[in-house]
This record gives sequence, C-alpha cells and structure tokens, in this order.
Amino acid sequence: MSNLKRRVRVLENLLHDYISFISDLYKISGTYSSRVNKEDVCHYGFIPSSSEYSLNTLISLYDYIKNTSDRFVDRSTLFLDIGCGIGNVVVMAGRVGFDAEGLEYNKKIYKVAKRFAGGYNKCHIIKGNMLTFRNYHKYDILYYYEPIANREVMLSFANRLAKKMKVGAYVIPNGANPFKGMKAFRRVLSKYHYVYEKITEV
Amino acid sequence: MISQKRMAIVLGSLVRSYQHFVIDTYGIGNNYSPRVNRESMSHYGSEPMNHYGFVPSDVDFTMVTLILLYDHIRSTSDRFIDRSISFLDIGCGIGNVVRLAEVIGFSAYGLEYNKKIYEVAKRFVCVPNAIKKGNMLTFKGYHKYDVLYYYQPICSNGIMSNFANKLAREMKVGAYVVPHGSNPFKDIKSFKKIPSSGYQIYKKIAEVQK
Repeated sequence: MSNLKRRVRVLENLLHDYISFISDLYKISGTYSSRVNKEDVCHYGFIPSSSEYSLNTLISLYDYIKNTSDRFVDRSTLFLDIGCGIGNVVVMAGRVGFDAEGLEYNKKIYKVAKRFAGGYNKCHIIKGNMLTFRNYHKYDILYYYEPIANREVMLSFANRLAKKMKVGAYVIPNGANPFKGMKAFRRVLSKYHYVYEKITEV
Repeated sequence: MISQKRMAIVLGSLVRSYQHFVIDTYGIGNNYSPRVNRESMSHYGSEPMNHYGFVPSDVDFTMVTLILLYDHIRSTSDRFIDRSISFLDIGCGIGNVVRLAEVIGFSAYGLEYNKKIYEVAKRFVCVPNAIKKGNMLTFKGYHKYDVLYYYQPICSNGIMSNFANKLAREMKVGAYVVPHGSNPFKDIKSFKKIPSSGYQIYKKIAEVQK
C-alpha cells in the first residue's frame, strides 16, 4: 500500500473514531437501527457515514463541476446536506470548497451541529423539517444519507425533491434513489459514485 | 482518480476540527498555553509542576513520524516478529496520539496526570487499560515500553529537562523515544538518531552512564 493511501486510511479511521465519540458524548448515536424522536415520522437520529466514500464523491464532484460548467466561474457552489446530523458532511463539504449548509430536524442534534459546524467558514446549519422545507431549488448540490427510516416516506420525499430541485443541480442520494429511473436525470462521474444531474424538468 | 494527497489533507484538517471540538466541549483548552488544574500541582512544594492541560499536536506530522517508526522497527528488528510493539504517550491528553498509534499498528498506551482529561481519554480511546492515570515524574514503568513519545507535557523547562534525563536512564536499551520539547537525547552517546522526515526519533543503544 502506498504511503499516502495508508495515511488516508489512518485518518479515515481516526475521523470515524471522533464522529462516534461525539455521537456517544451527546447520546445521539449512531447505528443503523437507532432512531431519535420515533414519533416524528421516523427521522433517523444520526448515522455516521463512510468518510472516505463521501469525501471521494465530494472532491470528484467539485472538480467535475469546476471543469465542465461555466456557471460557477464567478460564484460559489451551494451544497445542502438534508438531515445533516452533527454536521460532519457539512464541514467536509466546506473543506472541499463548497458553500455548505445542513438541514436538521432534531432539536438536540441541531444544537450540536450548530456548535460543531456552525463555527466554520462556509458552513451553516438550518433547523427545519426536510419534508416541508421549501428551498431545495436554491441549491446546486443536494446530498442525503438515509435521513428517514420509513421507506415509503423516504421515497415520497426523494420524488418530491426530484421535482423541486432546479435543472442543472446535482443530487447525491444515499437510501431511496428514484433518480436512476428518471429520464430527467443523468448519472455523472463514475460507476463508483451515485451522483445525478437534473437535465430537464420532471 | 482523486489525489490521495488531497484526501489526506482534507481528512487531516477534519480530524483537527473534531479534536478541537472535543477539547472545546470539555473545556480543556485548545492552544499552546492552557494549563489545567494549577491548584492541584502545588503538592510539589513552592514550585508548581506546570503540567500542560492538553496541547493538540499536528496530526499529519505525528502520523508521518509514527508510520516511519513502525516500519523502521518492523523492518530492522527480529524481536518483534512474534509480538506487538508497545507505545506509551507520556502526558497523553485526550488520547488522540494513543488512538493514532493504535490505528498505525502499535499496542498503544497513554499516561495522563489530570483527572478530568484522564476521564476523557479513557472514554475516547475506549480500549481497556490503555490509559493509565499517573504522574509522569514519578511513574516507574518506562522500562516496559518499546516506544516512548511525549509532546511538551510540562511547561517548566527545568522540570522537563530533568524528566527527559530520567527517562533516558530508565527506558530500556533497544527502545525508541520520540521527544517533543526538551531533548537531551541528541547529546547522549547512548542514543542514536534515526533518520526521519517528521519528529526526531532516537534509539537507546547502550545504558546511560551516570
């Protein structure tokens, strides 16, 4: 294994440790079966995702956008993590170069996210319900990582998002993914990445 | 293809962010001047021991040093074929370097004096008995470890220098030290410097003459 690859692996491990520690610290952890506020349409509490995959996808997309689109020459690229948990992906997106925002429904987790991610340049956390949020059309990139446990609600949300997001925007879905079957979307980057660009209205 | 170097830079900066968040959450300081529990240090008479609370080190630099040292030991010594390489971070703070060393492959331990920080480290490192509560100045187990690491655990240069000399005597022949702060090892004939692009690394090759 190359030295750099090894360093990436070590750092990825450490990052996961810190994320798990913070989740544990605030008791908002952190496995695929945990649910916070069950009564609230099964919004997941916080699921730490793979940092390496998310980072690889975000860097690839950032480079892709900068190299293929003139739209972003004079302006920044607005990123939204829908159901952002403690804001770990928001901070990551901010470090990659996006203007990153996170939307979080759970009050307790929102406070942690605001404290953790809100202090960083290019990072902002919004308190809100992803199912009723009205501003998806403002963002260039929409990302979610299984924010809702109920599959039907999740799928219905993803379909609504497909309609609401603007043409030219990108979506990185983790969990329900209706985009692969929609003609209005085309897959970009590689087979390794699940990134879709909206090319026409739905 | 994404540059691994770029991945490493972003990940390193993210790890630093989390480290600072943990430090901030516990209110245990996050710059080079914090001192925790000054009042509890007064049991050494009129001179305070000036243990630093927690000084976060550079993740990337430390990682490069420890990976190099791990590979060096594995490739140059037969002693470790059948056993792990024990590592002690003297004044380990929240245990960030202990965890780093463990991920690299060492059997890693930490020694922490401050009770509050010790509790955080125990919770963070999460390996039974990996974090020991103790005073580095009176600790008696340095001879048990293969690698000894410290990152400026004490403010007072005089005390720090005395400690480093004590460590030089007490660590076993064949063990390595990664000193940051006071460094008498460069002038002691019993120690040999290992080429490194990161922190300085010394191997004890003979007993220290009194």
